[in-house]
Amino acid sequence: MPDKHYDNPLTAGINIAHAPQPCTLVIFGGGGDLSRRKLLPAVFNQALDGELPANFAVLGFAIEKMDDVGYREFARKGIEQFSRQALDATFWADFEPRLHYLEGSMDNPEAYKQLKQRLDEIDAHFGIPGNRVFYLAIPPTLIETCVRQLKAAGLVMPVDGHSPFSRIIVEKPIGRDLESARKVNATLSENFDEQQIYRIDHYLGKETVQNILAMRFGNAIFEPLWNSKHIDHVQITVAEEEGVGTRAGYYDKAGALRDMIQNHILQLLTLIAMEPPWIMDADVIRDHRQDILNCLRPITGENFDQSVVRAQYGPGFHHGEDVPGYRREVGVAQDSVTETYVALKLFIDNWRWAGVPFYIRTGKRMPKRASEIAIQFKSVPPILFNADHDQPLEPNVLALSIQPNEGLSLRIATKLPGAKLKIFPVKMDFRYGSTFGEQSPEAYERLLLDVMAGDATLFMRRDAVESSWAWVDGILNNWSSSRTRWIPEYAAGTWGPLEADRLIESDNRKWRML
Amino acid sequence: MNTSAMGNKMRNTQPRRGSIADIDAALRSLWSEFHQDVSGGHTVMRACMSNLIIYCDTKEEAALIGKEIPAIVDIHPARVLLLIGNGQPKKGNAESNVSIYYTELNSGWQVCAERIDAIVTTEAVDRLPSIARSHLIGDLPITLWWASRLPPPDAGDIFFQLAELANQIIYDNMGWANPAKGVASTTRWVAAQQDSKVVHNLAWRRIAGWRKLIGQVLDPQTAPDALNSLNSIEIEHGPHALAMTWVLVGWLASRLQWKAVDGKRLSDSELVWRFQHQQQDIKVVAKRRPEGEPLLYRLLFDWSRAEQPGRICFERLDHDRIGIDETMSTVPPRVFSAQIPSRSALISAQLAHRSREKIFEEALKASNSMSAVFQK
Repeated sequence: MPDKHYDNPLTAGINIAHAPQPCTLVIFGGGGDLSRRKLLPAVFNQALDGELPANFAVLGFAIEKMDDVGYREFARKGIEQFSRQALDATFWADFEPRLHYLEGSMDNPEAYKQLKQRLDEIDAHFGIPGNRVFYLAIPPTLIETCVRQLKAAGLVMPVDGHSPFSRIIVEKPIGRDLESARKVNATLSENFDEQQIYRIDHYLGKETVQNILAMRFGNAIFEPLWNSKHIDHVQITVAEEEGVGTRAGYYDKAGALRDMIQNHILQLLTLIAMEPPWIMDADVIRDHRQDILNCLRPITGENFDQSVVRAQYGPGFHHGEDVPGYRREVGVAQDSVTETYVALKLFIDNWRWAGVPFYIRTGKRMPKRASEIAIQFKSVPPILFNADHDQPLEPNVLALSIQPNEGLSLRIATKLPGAKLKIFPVKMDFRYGSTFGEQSPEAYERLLLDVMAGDATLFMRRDAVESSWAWVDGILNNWSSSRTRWIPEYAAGTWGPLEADRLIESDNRKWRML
Repeated sequence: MNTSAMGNKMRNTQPRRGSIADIDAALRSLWSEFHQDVSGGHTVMRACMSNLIIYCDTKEEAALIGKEIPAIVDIHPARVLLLIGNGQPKKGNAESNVSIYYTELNSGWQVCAERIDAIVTTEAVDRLPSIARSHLIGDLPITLWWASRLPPPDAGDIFFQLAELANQIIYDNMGWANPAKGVASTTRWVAAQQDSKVVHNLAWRRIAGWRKLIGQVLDPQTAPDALNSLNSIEIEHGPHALAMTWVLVGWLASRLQWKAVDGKRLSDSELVWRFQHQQQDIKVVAKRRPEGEPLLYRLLFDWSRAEQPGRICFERLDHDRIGIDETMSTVPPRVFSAQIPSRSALISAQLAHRSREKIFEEALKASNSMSAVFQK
């Protein structure tokens, strides 16, 4: 909910809980890659669509030497390259005066004094009532410094219903294990109230992810089947085509488990598995998601090797071109055992999901970029159309595709036309891109507007971050205690190692072909 | 199969002319030919979201609407029934034209809409509701777009019968000859509707950008006391935009609880209303520019008190932008993105909107009060 309510009869009829409020967006690390590729194009698109509040400005704060003019040029280039809508010269001329820049070091108290002064000037010029959104597009190591400096400079307003709002957006990763995550959260909590903190996971801003709740709870036909009685298993796949690229420095210390599973995939899992919320309220939904994290069965002990596979990509082909193995990538240690692929089998120990395996896989250098959640229903009884043991009917699958094509499909069995009774699986496809003529906004656009509106539904709460780390730590600890110097390899451009196939095939199931 | 391009990507088949009784057969035949001749078997019917009944009086209006249909169904795939009440069928009293709209995908074809035109003579206009009724797709919402220049209730039976079929009625007050009379009859009719029926004036969506901007810029956070102390508003609009101006003022009056006290015509191009709120007078002047488009061009809000000026003047700069006029305002100048939506964009957006809007209905009631003081 918004931190502060004003009595404005002219905004009646506009859903205030979803209406962005006047504010300045302060981007720490405003001269960086995230800002250039995602944040500034997102703000530009919002402005072009008329979604931004009338009283709005952006201030980039970073170490790079730049002035307002330089920053506007930086932004323009980023928007030209990455915006979903083309840059229009006339509109740009109106938009660019809203962009400002302040050069400063994250640990310099003087810089924060200048920041405060600059923000006050911007407020006065744009009629902004002191509301600020601080976006920390900075390395995790700088979060603590930045947050403390903000507080010390008097830039964090209390949540008292009267003061302007101060909201902070923190990018993943929040820590690299439970202990460090708690430390980051503790620092955030010392300086901001939990309702001012927005831990962003851009996956949750994607249209299909938001559609999970709409599909589950807006249709009567799915929810009665959404349990262990009817669902055989669930597969979640997040496959990336790219290798480690320019992120080797970060990635080699993190690996796929930290980079993908602890945040994106566990958040997807909670949306798929959660109980119906009784109201579309941020905390109620987050409570229900948290319940799922609380029910995750720890992966430890003698079943560990049957439940977890990690691997690293070796040399192979990407779109027909030779690509090096992970250990030959620039910036990666030659003896690195960092996993670029993880496959898991996990269970949610609650009434609804008892005994239903969730198979998860994520990796780099896969044959294609594809993220999907597939719900495989149980087979029909082996009679009538399914009586042929040599050729059993393929079970129904509801697949939610998250990228690159957002949509969902349902595989059903149908009779082929003709005199013979031949049953064949067909796929009913629904794609956002071609079903609706309108373009979906980018995830960052949606999420930034949510922060300006004070809606935290699609953001991670502290308990969720820590619970997911607690669960992931069980796996990390097992790996670190094994002190292995080798992990399985898979050829770049393939769907992962044989060990991952064995993990699922030992249960008489198969990974889906995407 | 003959086809024609409709812009960047949308195409349609050549309309198939026939009798009203031939409509179903013509549709089946078009589909069949499309599968064989164009799509090579790779046809997808996009999720059909609505039935859209459009009523207009003349073939000239129908021709204009026909150009807008591709843009509407591109956003909101639908079965479109275009009913032309004063048409000129070539044979007899009534005839039909049937076509389908489609677009090319990477790997095939996608049909977005089926369009059925029913053209009748003035004498046969009472047959249109039955034609519409028998060609609606079941299980889908039905919207009536009343594209006649007559205020809906003033059209009589043809409107009431078509409205009976629909879950939503969209009308447009742009160009009404007598806005005061039209507002009065429409308000009475809207008030009499059951809760399940959505009634929408396109002018309400046309002024949506203005409403949002005014609400934000005059917000008590940024302009303290402005809303409580407003004492004068001047609105300049283009030709045919008086009814839209009327709705905007009605909205302000309903939200700010102003009571219409008086209203008069100062000249052919200028009206003035006097409202009261908490013993304070608010004067609203609406001036028509001699030339231009049917738009709101300039809005001046004044909440000045003795020795404390407070003014903001919005000015439409072009089709995409509204600016704050520095010379007339006490707030810093700024420019906002405010594109003038096309009528097809307004319609397609409204098709997806399926609940009654209380704020609009209250604005309509306030507009009616403004008509009442005018009629005294």
